[in-house]
Amino acid sequence: MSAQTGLYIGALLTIMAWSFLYKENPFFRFTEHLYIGLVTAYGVGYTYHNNLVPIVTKDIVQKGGYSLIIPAVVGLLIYARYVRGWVWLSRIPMAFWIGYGAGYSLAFTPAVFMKQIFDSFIRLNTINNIIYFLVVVTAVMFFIFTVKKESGPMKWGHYAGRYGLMIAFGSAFGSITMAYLSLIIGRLGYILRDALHLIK
Amino acid sequence: MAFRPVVDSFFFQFTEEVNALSSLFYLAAAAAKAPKPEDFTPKFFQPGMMWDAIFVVLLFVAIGVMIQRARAGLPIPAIRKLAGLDAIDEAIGRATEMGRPVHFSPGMSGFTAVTYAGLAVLSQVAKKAAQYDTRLLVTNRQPLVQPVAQEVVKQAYLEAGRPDAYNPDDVRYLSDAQFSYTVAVMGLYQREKPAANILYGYWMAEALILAEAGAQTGAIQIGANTNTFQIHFFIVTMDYVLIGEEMFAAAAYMSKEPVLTGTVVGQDMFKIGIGLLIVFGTIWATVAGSSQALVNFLLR
Repeated sequence: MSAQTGLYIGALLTIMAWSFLYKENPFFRFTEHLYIGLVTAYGVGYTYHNNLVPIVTKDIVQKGGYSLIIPAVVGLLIYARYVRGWVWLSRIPMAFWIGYGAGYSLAFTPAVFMKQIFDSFIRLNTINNIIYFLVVVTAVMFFIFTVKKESGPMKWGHYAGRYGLMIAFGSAFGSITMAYLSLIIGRLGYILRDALHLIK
Repeated sequence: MAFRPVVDSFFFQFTEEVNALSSLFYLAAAAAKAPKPEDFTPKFFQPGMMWDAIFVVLLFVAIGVMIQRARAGLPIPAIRKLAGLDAIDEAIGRATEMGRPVHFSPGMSGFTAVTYAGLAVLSQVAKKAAQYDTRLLVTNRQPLVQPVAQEVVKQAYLEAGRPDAYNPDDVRYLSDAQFSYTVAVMGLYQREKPAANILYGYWMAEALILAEAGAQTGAIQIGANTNTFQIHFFIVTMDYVLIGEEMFAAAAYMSKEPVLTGTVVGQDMFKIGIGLLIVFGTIWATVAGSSQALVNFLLR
């Protein structure tokens, strides 16, 4: 298949995917299923060639890392859920993974957290720093769920925190929407310039 | 030249999301330039982390005390009203009236705190769907989350007294690729026409696509996201949105379980303490000209 044929197929599939903007139709459905199928097939092939084969042939057989068989067997237990009566075995890898995640987070998340707190200790000597301080404190107040917010400082803190967050989200919205527009421009360039040669 | 900020913004976003896919923790660690496991030589007491340990212990104590009080029936503060969660009942009720399904997704991340929160809410949603005899469709992107989601829904149907109504095929693993999953959910929206769409987890660049495609079906949409680079897309396209930390209070708010409620109350006490510490540190920095002495003390 020539490179140009590949470009035509890519452009056609892009337009078929975009046809969803009109409504769901057989062309979109074909693209959807093709995409999922391709990604799944690619994922299986990639995992087999880049993870499974090197680990078995190099790490286990050549280097003698037989201890790797233990996590492999524990991982395979996840398939026990398809065997009636052995379903309980599939919970072992889950429990291991969840326990690992919880322990890891407890050991290392506080350091991240503390760094963020320390970085909030700033001098109130500029308008930027004052705004930063006010938004940080009121945003913390916004996320306090067990103190009544109907009156007192909590009421105003809650409101100010909400507006602070919304302004921050608004600026992120503008920035990321611009990034998405650049993606659309890139894709239009692919169709009109690379595939169809309608523009230079 | 005008494209430079756009390109930078895109790559920042892209990098952020790739990091998030690998591990939410590493993303936070990179952002905060905090010590990582490889920075340490393992020791029983790690220098520079004394206050980390003290804070973790204080958090444990606060949560433990509040859980015990809640279990003993002693008064503890109530969790304030969360509008997005109140809407879940309304959304499931509407789906029941219309005879259309409810769609729920616990987000794009693997086993992180966000996913646990999503699964806790899924349990409550599944229970209500079972009680109302409404079909619940759950889609997953993570293969590891899929069996857990199936267990959660199955258990919820059992607790609702409707084990016969549970259909394992309605809890679907679609694809672990970000946009494959997205396109599959878009197709599902159009074919199944859910009347309620609940996206509750960590969402990335697919946030806008999913929320917009959901809006096209006319569904009531409830979203929750902890990704500050994407949550605004939910805010502009969905009916109700839970922002960041609100997600974690949700399960306790919905279930009213003492353990979960006590946890939220304990965390709130800690948050108030952190807020006060920030105020104290800022005053210190302003008066003394620098907060370095305080930071050095807290880094012991």
